[in-house]
Amino acid sequence: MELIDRYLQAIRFWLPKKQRNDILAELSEDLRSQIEDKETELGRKMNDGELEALLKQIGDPLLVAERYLPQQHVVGPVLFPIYCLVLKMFALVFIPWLLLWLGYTVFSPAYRAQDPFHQLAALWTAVLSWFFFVTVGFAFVERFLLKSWMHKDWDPRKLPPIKAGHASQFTTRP
Amino acid sequence: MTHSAQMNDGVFEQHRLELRCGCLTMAALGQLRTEQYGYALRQKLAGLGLAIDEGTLYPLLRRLESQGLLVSEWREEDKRKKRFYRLSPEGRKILKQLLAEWESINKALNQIL
Repeated sequence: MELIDRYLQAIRFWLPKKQRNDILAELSEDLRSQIEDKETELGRKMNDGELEALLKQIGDPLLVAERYLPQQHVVGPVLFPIYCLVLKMFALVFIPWLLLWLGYTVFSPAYRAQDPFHQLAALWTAVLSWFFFVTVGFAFVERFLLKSWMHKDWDPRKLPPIKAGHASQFTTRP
Repeated sequence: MTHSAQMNDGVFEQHRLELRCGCLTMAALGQLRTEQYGYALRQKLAGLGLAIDEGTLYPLLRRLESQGLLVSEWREEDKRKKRFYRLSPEGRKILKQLLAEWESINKALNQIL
């Protein structure tokens, strides 16, 4: 039964602290009943192979534990498209910068002489810190603000006007 | 198995799980009109043709309890501690509403399919 203990221990690791003992007590009681029923049916003790098969069927400890946890996101599905848009906008700033660096490095011997990789490292640090701060910002909105924003009534009259050059497409019967 | 058959299985499995999800909630609530512990509930449901694995049932019961639809207590039976669940008055109300919803969906589906 050492295998079962190891399995329960692995599940325990991922469970929310407050409910850990409670969830494990219930789950191990279920396992005990399953094993006892199976052994009554077989008329003998279950062997290691059969216990392994049972655990395999119940599933990966992380996946078992995960179902007890509330669904959590750093950036959830509602914010994700906005998050992607912001990251793309930053990419639009950084890509010309990168091209500029590449151009100078290739075509200007004077620039090459003053350690261009130091510049590249600085650019890379800037990219990483922007990525970091954007993500932290969105995570903050997700965690603390999103719910109250979602409860606000949205106003159809505040929708942006039709883009210039686009005709109205939507009509109903005259 | 061909690639498209595998994909088909995956899509079916996803829809099957979605379809089962609400049904399992109703089945658990309905069966817990009489008090039971988890394993006995699983056996009862499996016997009635609605098998539900441990990894699905226990998180579901906990969620329903946290919503106030079930109440539970640890009690000793056959010298072992078991957690017994039963439907709360609030759960009874919700189950009744769910059943009405279920019936109207069923009625509509019967006409469509």
